[in-house]
Amino acid sequence: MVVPLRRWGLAGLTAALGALLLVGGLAVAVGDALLRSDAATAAVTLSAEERRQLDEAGMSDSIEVDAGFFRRMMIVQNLSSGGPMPESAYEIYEDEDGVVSMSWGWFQEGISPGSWGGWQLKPVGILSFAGLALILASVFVAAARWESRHPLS
Amino acid sequence: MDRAGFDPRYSPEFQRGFDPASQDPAADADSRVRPVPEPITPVPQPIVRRVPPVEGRAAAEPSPTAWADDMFGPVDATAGEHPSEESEHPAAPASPWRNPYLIALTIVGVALVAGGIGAFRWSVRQVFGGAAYGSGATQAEMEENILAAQLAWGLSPLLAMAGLLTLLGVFFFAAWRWRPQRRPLGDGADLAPSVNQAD
Repeated sequence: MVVPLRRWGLAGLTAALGALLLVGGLAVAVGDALLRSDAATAAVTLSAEERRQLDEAGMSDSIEVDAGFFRRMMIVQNLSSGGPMPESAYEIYEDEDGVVSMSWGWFQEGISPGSWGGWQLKPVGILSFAGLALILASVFVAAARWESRHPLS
Repeated sequence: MDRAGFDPRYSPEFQRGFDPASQDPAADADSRVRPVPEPITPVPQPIVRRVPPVEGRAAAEPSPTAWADDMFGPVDATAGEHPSEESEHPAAPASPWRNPYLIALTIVGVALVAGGIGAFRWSVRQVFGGAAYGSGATQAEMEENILAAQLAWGLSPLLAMAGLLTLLGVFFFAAWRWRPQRRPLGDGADLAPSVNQAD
């Protein structure tokens, strides 16, 4: 292991490893975002039984409009809370005058989120951050070596 | 070799093929007056890197592949490369801001901070403001927008943090390499004793 280190240089190896980590971390982050989108889609997708109940209540048209908005809110909630993907639940009720209404919302662990939280550090972000840090560190090593090559500058 | 085939560094009379009769008498007499001829100084002058202006010019005009040597060269290539030169010019005032890597790191650090903040603001506008679901966008475009917004949300604060750490590193590097400017002899150092003597 000593020979390759001396041949290629520690800075070069660090930069190569950093580039690998950065590309791999970006790929993992893209995969995580796709999984989050799929989970949000699954959370707002109605089952056949639920869709039948909404059809009977005459609310299947309005539910399609709301589903897109709910999906976006679930993604935002999952991004900002750092917790699991919220679940959606609806309730159809009929008042004393015979008017059918529906309540649909998203809930996280049984509680309706009241605040959006903030930015959360996700493990998938650490990989790309480490890769970028390694690349920058290799440039620092090159800067130090440049100083020793050009002592009068 | 000169025209007669002699090595110019040494006197011809001590070399093979020298004919005293073929030489100029005056020169021959001169050679007799001076029995031990001074050896001619070798023509090539190989030590040019010891002169400071030449070294400075080399630093100002690096070769096109110098960055590859710095990045991928052997680890200990510079450890003992010019020890004599450094010892001959030990206290040359150096400006770390002539280091191209340091300049590049500074630019990258500022770009990372600005880009990270800008990307996070963009992602907030996308997900909270609903810009990702703008009117006229197709389903595929909306999916791409929300995907990019997620990436920007998760990674842009880390980009800004990497930029801040880079700028901090540049600051520490510059502080490490900073040397005080050497004062010329005879300014304050000469003034202080004279003041003491006047007292």
